[in-house]
Order: sequence, then C-alpha cells, then structure tokens
Amino acid sequence: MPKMMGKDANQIQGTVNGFEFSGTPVSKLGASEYTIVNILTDLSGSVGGWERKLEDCIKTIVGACRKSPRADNLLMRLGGFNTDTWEVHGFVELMKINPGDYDNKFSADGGTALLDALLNVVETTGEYAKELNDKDIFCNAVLFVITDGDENSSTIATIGSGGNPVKCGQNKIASAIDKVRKAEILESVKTVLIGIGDPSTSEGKRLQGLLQDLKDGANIDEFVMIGNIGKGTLAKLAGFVSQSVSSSSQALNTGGPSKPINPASVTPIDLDSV
Amino acid sequence: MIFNSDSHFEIGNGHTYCQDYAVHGSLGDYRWGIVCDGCSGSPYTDVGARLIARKADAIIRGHIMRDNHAALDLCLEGNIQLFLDSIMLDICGIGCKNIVKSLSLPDTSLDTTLWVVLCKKIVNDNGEEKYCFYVVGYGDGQVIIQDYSLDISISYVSYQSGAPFYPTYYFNPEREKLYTTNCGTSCKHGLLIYKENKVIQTEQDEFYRIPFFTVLKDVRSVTVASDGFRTYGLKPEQQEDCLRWASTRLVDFKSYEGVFVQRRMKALARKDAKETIGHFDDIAAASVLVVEAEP
Repeated sequence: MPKMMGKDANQIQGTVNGFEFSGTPVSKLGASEYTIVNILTDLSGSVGGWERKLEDCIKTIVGACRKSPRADNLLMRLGGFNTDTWEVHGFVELMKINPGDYDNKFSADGGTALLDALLNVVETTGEYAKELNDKDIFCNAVLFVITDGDENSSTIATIGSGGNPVKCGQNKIASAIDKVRKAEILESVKTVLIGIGDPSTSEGKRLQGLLQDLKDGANIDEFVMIGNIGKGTLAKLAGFVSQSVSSSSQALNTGGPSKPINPASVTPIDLDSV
Repeated sequence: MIFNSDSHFEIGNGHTYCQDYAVHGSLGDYRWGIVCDGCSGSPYTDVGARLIARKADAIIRGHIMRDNHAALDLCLEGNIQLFLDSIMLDICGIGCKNIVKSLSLPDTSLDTTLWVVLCKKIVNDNGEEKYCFYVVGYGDGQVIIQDYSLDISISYVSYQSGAPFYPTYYFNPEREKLYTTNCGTSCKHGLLIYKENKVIQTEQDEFYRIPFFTVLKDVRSVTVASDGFRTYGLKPEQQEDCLRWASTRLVDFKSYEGVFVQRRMKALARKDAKETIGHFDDIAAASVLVVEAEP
C-alpha cells in the first residue's frame, strides 16, 4: 500500500519489535509542544465493503480536529492492520494533511492482528516521542486502535508465547505502555481501544467481553463499544475520536490527564459533511 | 543555513505579573530580538515594557521596509550607533510617552531596560554569506554569545546600587539628577568567558550614560537576556555559578526552527527543575542564530 505525504514524514525508523514508522524530522517542527495522535484501524476482511466509509470517517476526524484551537499543535499518524500492520502515513502535522489523499487508500482483507496493532501504536509513539523530547518538544499522546473483531493473527506481540499467545501479547503491550510512562518523555499517554459492534447482540456481547479482557490484561486506559459498523456508527466514531483528541490537546501543559469522553454523549459528525 | 530569531519570557516565582517582555522579528536579510525588563519598583512597567519593545520592533521593521539601508547599513558602525540612539529618542522621549499619557499611566511606567540584538546577512561579491550582529543595551542585562565551537561568553551590565539607569531618565533631568545623587555615576560592564574548564572575567567601570554596544561576527548565536536569569535558585549541591548555569542551558538549543527559544526555556523549567528551585525574578530572552541546516 503506497505511503502518503511522504515528503513530510520522510524519516523512517523501526521500533524494538521491528514495527516500521515514519515521521516528520523533528528538526523541521516549529512548535514547542504537540499532542501526538496515533490511529490504527482494522482493515481485515470483516470490514470489507466499508472501506470508503472508513476513509470518510478518517477524513471527518481530520476535518474536525482542524477546527480545534490547538490544531497547529497536533501530530497524527494513521495506519491499518489485518494480518499485518502498516502505515498509511507517518507522524505529520495535522494542518499539513490533505484529507483528499485518503481517497481509495483502504483495502480490507485478511485476519485481525489486534495485539500487534496495539503494540505498534504504543512502541511507535514511544520512539517518536523520545526524539521530540530530546529536542525540547513537550508532548502528550492519545492512541486509538479501532477493531470490529478479536485477535486472531498477531505474530509479533505473541512471540515467545508458549501456550497462551493472547496473555503473552497482553503482557507485552502492558509492559510497553509501562515503559513509555516510566521514561517520562510524555506528559501523559492515553490508550483507547474502540470496538465496532452492538453489545445487545450475542456476537457484539461476545466481542465486548473479549475486548474488555484485552483492555484489562494489557492495561489499556479506555475501552468503548461504538455500535455495529454502519454510517451512523462511523459518524459517532468520528465524533468520539475528534473529541478525545481535542480533550488531550487541551490537557497538554496542565500536568494532568485528559477528560474522558463518554461515547453515549458524543455528537456524531456527519460523514457527508466532509 | 538556518538564520532564525525567537524570543520568550516567563514570570518569576516572586512576582504577581510579569514585567519582562521579549519580541523578535524577521524581514529580508535581517533578524532581531528585543528584551525589556520593567522596574519592579515602578507601577505599570509591565505595560511599559511591552510598549517599548513593540515600539522598537516597529521602528526596526519600518526602516527595513522603507529600504532605509543607510540607517541600517551595519557595515558602518558609527551609523548603527546613531540609528539605535535615534530609536531611544523615539521610544522613550516622545513616542511611548504619548501612548502612556493617553492611557492615563504615569511616565514611570516606561522605566524599563531595553536590549536589542540585530543581525544582517551580507553577501559579498564572491557570493559568500556573512552575518554581522549588533547589540545595544540600555540598563542592566546581558548578552550570551555562543561561537561555533559551542563555547559561550557573557557580556553584562550591572549596577552596584542595584538600580539601573533606565533610558527614560535620559529625557528627565530631574530624575537623572536624583539617580546620580542616590546611585552614583558609574556602572559595571563585564565579560565572562567560559572555555573548557576555565573562566576569565574582566570588569570595568563605565559612565552610567554609556549604553552597552558591541559588534560580533563569526558567532553561532547571540542572545540578549534580562537579569532575572541571575536569580535562579540553585540547590546547595550545585557548585556552578547561577549565571553560568542558566546561560549555558539557555543557549543549548536542540533544534533551530520555529520557536527555538520558547522550547528551550520551557524545557529549562521542566527538565532542569530538579537542579533548581526556580527563578525569583521574571526572565526574558531573545536570540538570533545562524547554524548549518541538518541534512
């Protein structure tokens, strides 16, 4: 899948577990502080047919975040995952993203390497934040992994798992989050797992239970179920993510965490308004 | 080359509102930075510091935009001294005085220092770029100069009485007479050079009316700063002199685009907080730097 916005995010690196990421060279950044937003979205076979709407959802998130008074202090990375994890674009300043570049970029196929996706967002954020911190740039971070299914394909987070790959992966993610926090390179880091499913159905309830276990085992800060995949759900997703980003960016420099956003009270953003 | 200017200011632990102010500018071949430190004993000098800094910025900008290179031709040092003196006349003599009067503020609200660093890029006939820095200072304060081997030196002006001769006194004979009666007629112009582990200090008495003035070439950065940087309270286990501690960290810029001074000063408060109990007085700094762009 071709990379986007390669001109800005042209510094390519890898994390300790081999996740590749790119970012705007830190020496080119002009502000004194940023909120880092890292989003990985499920592009496994089960979201097939919804790729264009998912793209619209991301465009809507970018558009909504641009209206934030702190828009000039947002860095965003977008990736996808199925059996593999990859970057759609690296860490770039939000105002330099052209939403039109997301058109026809998503293609859904394959399994769900959910544990790898969670480990990816944590490690890549930690590595890039370290560079920002070394250059006196103050940051906080909010990380999103969006999924409509449970883990079934991870190969990196589950290395050395023996008999229990899920537990192994959860421990690895929890350890990575702990490492980033203890390094004190970010004012705060918030991890959000978003499940696309309706908990009132048996399938949705099952997914909710599995993702809740993952949230608890991996020490994820927040887990929300947003509803079955559909235009309305994606509109709600766009509202939830953009409001969470806004909350995090306003919390920067306060010394405290961002205000949690209640998905039930989120104002959905019409994807057709993009 | 990266040829950039930036500025930042912060309130001190012992102050209710910040009486320091800093601005910077960039236009054509010029970069500049301005720092003003308002007298803590005179009311409304927070307003005065802002007015004087903004007025100085507007005057510099106006000269560049009017292509007034005769006045800004930094190769002729005599002219720049004249130019900067004329700024003072405009700022403190008439210009800002009318503004404070219109705001029903006392003239004493203009009791602030004024330190300016102005740099011009000059391209010679061979196409080589040279950068010439000019610094002028009225009242107390300091200039931190970093060369390309990253050694720093600090030129400073201080007053034994603790009361600086503010440029507004030039235009008020009564206040000037009161000043010389109470505080004497001299100040200290000093130079501290830090090279490897050595410190060389020279100091001389200067007539109080003489502003600080220097011309610099082949240096990496020039930073004008208020004297608040001397009020960092280092913890007892810190052996280093406070001014050296603050100055070396202030100019240790990690990156050079955008708000590089603001980043460094905020990081100084955050990262070096463990070594210090903060700064009692307000601090302000403005810097111009010339560095190679990273590949």
